[in-house]
Amino acid sequence: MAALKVLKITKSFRADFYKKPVQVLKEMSFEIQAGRFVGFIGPNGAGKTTTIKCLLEYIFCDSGSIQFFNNQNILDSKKRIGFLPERPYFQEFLSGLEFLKLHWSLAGLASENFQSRALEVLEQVKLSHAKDKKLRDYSKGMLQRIGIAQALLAKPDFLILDEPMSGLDPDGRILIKDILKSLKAQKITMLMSSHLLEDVEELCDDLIIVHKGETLYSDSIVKFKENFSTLESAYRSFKGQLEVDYNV
Amino acid sequence: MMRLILINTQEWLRLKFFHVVVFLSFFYIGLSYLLGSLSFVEHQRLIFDFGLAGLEISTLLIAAFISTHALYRDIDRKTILVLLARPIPRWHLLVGYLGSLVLLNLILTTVLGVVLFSFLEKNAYALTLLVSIVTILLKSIVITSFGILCSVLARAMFGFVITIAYWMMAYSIPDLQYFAKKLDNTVLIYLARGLDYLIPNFYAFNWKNYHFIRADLNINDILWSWSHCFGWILFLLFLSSVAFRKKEII
Repeated sequence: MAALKVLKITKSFRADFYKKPVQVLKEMSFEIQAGRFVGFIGPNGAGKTTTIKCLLEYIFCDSGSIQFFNNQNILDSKKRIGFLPERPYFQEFLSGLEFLKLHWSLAGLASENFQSRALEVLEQVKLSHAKDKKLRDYSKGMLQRIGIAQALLAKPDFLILDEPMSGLDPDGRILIKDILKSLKAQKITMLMSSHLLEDVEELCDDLIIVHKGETLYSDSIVKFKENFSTLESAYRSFKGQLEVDYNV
Repeated sequence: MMRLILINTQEWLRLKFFHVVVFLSFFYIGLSYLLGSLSFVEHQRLIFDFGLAGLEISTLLIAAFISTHALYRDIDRKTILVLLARPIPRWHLLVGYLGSLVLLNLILTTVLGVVLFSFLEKNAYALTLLVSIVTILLKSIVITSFGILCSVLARAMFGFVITIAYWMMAYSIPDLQYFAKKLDNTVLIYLARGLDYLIPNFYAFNWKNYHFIRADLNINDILWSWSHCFGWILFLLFLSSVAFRKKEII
């Protein structure tokens, strides 16, 4: 079953009203099967974050369609989606538990179930010890983990992570990777935008490569690196071929 | 929703801008007391006038500045991306901003109102003071709603300037109408009439002198002014939510 179907979405931006619009997404299409962990890669400006923003309707596609779990209603779908943007600011005067409480109430969930679920996700992201600490006292890695905790709070079926490991130290990255591996074992569908090929190779099942607003590859990682030892070498060869084909 | 309002309020309470405005409003009210003491015959009226003017300016500054910057701040910090990932309609966020600013200005007007009341000698002023303060609070909510609309449509600082201009216009329409009539200029007459439809009339809500000119507060007039404010709040909030529904969060 497809957890997400993206069909020929296009998006243009106009820097100023007198300037020509720039097409950022050009009929981008891909599908993500339920239970798969998908790496979303491409160079800066390829359209990864724009695609994610379209998925969650922060911005609106000019054309094309997006369906989560065969449902076009985004408000309904959001009940089943968790999202962690790249380096967001969380209200630093709240404690970890208060922060989760805010998101629990926004998700419209029954307050009597909050405590047990919050403790469960805090345990999952290894922050039980810091639940009463103010977010201002959290390290960057801890903030990233509380971000994952808020994304997991409402037991989502689909998790979208935008650069979850950017700016983290090695220990922080290891912790996040461990969390993501445990989520993968629970068969939660995940889409992770990343610049780090080794992380994608280690964690993901499938790969989507985007370039200049187009999907260049959307299939399994195993297939992608069939004749190569690492994802990086396969990607190098793929890019080399692109330069020949598209003169990029 | 209530949690969002409370958390936004906590956020605004921590702003340096808020601290500066609170300091200035206490300073202004203190000044009104000093000025009142210097007067021989009208010292109660001076305290009343100056104090309420200070209160109105404080609530205006808070309403205009925070309402025009709140959305921009949340977009800039990407907090909005986390909030809107939840299954809530977008207008909930706007109500969150409005509710938090109402709460903030309610706290401020209550505290300043109590201080002002303690400076007055007679309890006879209490009703006029209460009506004036509630009206000031309502006016600040109208300004907040307009500021939120500006924040959806324009950049923060531009929205702030427009919101302050809107407040000034809301006091100037009767004057503009008067001048248009005096000059007998058809264009100006129509302009003033048009603005009267576009901007609420704050000029008519000046209750603070009623006690001193020995006029009775008319409950119908008060209710009319309050419902006028409520109408504008709902209208501006509706416009904001329609505009925000299609706003691209880049």
